[in-house]
Order: sequence, then C-alpha cells, then structure tokens
Amino acid sequence: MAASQKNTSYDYLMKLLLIGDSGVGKSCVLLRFSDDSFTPSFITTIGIDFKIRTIELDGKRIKLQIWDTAGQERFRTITTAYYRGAMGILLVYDVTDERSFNNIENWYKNVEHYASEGVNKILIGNKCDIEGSRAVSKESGQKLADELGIKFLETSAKSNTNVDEAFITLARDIKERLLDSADQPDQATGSAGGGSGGNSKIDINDTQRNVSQGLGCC
Amino acid sequence: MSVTTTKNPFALKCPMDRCKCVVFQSNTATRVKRTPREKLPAIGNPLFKSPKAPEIVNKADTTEPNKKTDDGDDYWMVTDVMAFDNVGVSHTKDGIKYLSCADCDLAPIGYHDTTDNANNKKEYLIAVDRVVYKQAK
Repeated sequence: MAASQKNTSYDYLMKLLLIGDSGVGKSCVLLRFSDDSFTPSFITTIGIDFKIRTIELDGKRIKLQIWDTAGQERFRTITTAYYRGAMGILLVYDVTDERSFNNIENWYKNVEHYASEGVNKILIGNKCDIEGSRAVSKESGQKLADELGIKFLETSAKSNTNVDEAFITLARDIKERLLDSADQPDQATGSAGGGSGGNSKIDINDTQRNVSQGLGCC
Repeated sequence: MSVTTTKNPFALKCPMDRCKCVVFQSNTATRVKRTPREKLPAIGNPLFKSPKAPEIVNKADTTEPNKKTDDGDDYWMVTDVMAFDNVGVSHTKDGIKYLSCADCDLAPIGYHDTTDNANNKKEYLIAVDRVVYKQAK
C-alpha cells in the first residue's frame, strides 16, 4: 500500500484535454462502462464539463482532470483559453470515420499553435460504436503517430479496451517530463522508494491557471 | 453550523453493480443537510435502486441531539473538487452543476450550486442515498 497521505489525497495533479472532431466519441473515451441496457440520458443531455479521475502510477496517486471540448470544436474556436495549463492532450479520431482521422493533422497544428510548448500528446483511434465498420486501419493510425512523433493507442469504451491504458500512458509521460524538468536528484523515476518527503510532491492546486508557470514545463 | 462535522467513515462508491467506481475515499467529506435550490432530478436508470446506508454510517450521525430536524436532505460535502477520486461534473444548468459517476455516467448523484456563495466556499454535495459504502481495505 502507498504511504498514507493525511492532508492531501494525491501526489500529482494533471490537466488533460480531449481534442478531435465532434462525433468521434470523446466523451465516450471517458467512460469505463458503456452499457446498452441503460441510457444515461440525463448526463448526455446536459453534457460533461470535466471529469476527475484518480489513477495509481508507481505507487503515486495521480489525479487527472480531464476536459472535453463541449462542442466548441464545431466552430473551431478552441484557442488559448482552453489549452491554458494543459499538461497532456489526447488527439481523438473515430476509426469508423476517415474524415475525423484526416483532420488529426489540423488538430495537431492547433495544439502546436495554442498549447504550451512541450505538452505531452497521444493519438487515440476510438471505436465507440460497435456497429460501425472500420474505415481507418490500425497501421494508418500508427503511421500517423510515428510521423507526429507521438504514441498511439486504439480504444473502445464498449469493450473497455485500452481506455485506462491511454490515460496511464499519457500520465506516465507527463510525470517523467515533470520530474526531468523539476530536476530533483532524489526523485529518479526508477527508484520507487517510499520516502515521500515534503519536496517530492509537485503540488498544483489551481491547475487551470498556475500549472504552466508554476512548473516551468520546458 | 459547527455541529455537523461527521466525516464519512467509509469510501463512497457508485451503486451500479458493474461499476462500483470510487467517488471518494473515507474520511474525506463532511455530512451536512442541504435543501437544493433546484430539486435534484431522479436517477432515470431503471437499474438504479436507492441504496440504504449501512447502520454505522447513520450511527455516526446519532451523536447529534437535534438530528430529527426538518432542515434538508443528507449530503456528503467537500469544498474542493479535487477531493473526489472519480467524478463527472456537468455543464451548468440554471446555475447548477450536476455530479455523475465518472465511469458509467450514472447521474445525478449530487450537485454543485455555482450561485451559492453563502459560506464563501464552494460546496460539492453527494446525496447519501445515491452511493454505496465500502470499507477501505
């Protein structure tokens, strides 16, 4: 078991964004269980602003605050404000929709333009609906990811495939980047020693505003 | 009201059988009574049955001499959204943000009134009868 933390319930706090065309199932990437037998109509109607997810990574509790674009992507109005403080970005396309895949490069440019430098990214080929037929091969997805120099995963909330993996992969990359830039000699990534001293905690309470300055990510 | 300082003795979880996602850990939230400005909508999911809080959870409340007052419904309150382990926060509707299970979208399990600044702090409230309780291992 992890060391008990009395005052704070986490070691890291990371702000992540879901980016991609509307209809690619970004909100469905956030679901661990999507079940045909019930329709969560209430939340679908109002829409999710953000979710908090807690994961454990190398004995550390990591709190993820994951933002959805709330349909802004339809108007291409995703700009600086939305990206502010983002530490990781999931670029999402739908494997049954080729257009959403072709648009990834535009989204990538958007990210490069507005997000803070050095932000971690991952490409997600999502298959929300089991009925739809595949239009983008896994190889194409991997090839694009290689070109962009980022990691790639295919996810399906329907079968709970890789959904957790996607967030864990991204969180791990961010953690490594933060530790590198924090440059703390006693915080080598490999040693999962228990001593959670006061300065080993990267505490970012107001993610939405302070993150990029507070940590000086690159 | 400084009398209601009972912290949750158990972790709170999503009540759905398949899900059981942890909403927050034990000893995180304060039990309070609140009357939502907008009535908390019922959970539409037919599989949802309002769980009964275990004896000990209610027992923790019997220390209050005035417990049978009619001053609202029971909620677990946190003042920092980061206190949640897993939660979904909806868009604002009539000043209210509704809280959902992060894993299965069961909703609403609670609310956050964005217009309520009475105590000069934000309150995120989880209805005591819309979650189940599990002892942390």
